[in-house]
Amino acid sequence: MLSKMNVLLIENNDADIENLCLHLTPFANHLSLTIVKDGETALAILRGQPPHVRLQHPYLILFDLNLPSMDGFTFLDELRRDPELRTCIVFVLTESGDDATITMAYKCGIAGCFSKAKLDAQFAQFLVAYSVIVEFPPM
Amino acid sequence: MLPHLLHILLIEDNEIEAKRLYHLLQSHMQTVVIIWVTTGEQALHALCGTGGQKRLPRPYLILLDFNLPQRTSFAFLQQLRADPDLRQSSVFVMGEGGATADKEEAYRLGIVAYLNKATLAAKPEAFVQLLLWYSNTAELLPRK
Repeated sequence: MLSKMNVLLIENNDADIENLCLHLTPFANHLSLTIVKDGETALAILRGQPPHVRLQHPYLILFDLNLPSMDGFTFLDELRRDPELRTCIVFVLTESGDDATITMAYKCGIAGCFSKAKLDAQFAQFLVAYSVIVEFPPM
Repeated sequence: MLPHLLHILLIEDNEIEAKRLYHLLQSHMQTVVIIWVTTGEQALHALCGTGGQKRLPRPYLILLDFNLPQRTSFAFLQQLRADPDLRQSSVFVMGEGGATADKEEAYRLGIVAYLNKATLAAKPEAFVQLLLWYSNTAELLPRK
């Protein structure tokens, strides 16, 4: 029940990565953070493609929609078309907070959306509460 | 600036269960208004302001009992995601656990979280905290 929750952060902006690390570190006994900078690497980790080790359940994904290289929507489509990944939990991180873009992401079955400006201690506590009481999709 | 009043649409056909949740949320969340309906159809009316119901003000969260009769919980979620104006709603599902195919389907339809009702009863504070922290940090759309 109290297994650590893995958080896969897909983000290429160093300042945003540092900010999230800062807030998640105090909860290291609940959360384990893995950081990748692009969608391709994220998919390789989620699929356990060598040389990557498959990310262990339970996990959730925090994902910056505006990544270079693989387009955010391409990444979400890839996830939803993969029978083993189609149910995984994805929270989108956004800078602009452009309603229309986020609404489009909901078409790909995202769980929710957070503004990068609000990734603070309360957000970390949300993740901890999440790891404690939520039932994750079956593996 | 005053905090926005958060509306919670509770969809639960069991009256005892609904009252328990109502009191729990009301006592722990200061700036919340809870609207209780018993069917997915009523919920859609409340969200759209149709069927003689007042339109639910934004921002809102939805708490959905996943065991409504005749699988209407699924139908509700599907209709929600198909509607361009409601697609972005944040939905917390409350179920009995088990039935992995159901849980899988719910996550595929983009819910925030699946909560086991037994866990809710055992850890009510954790549940309230989850909702509070989510509503304080997440972007609840549409922002109007």
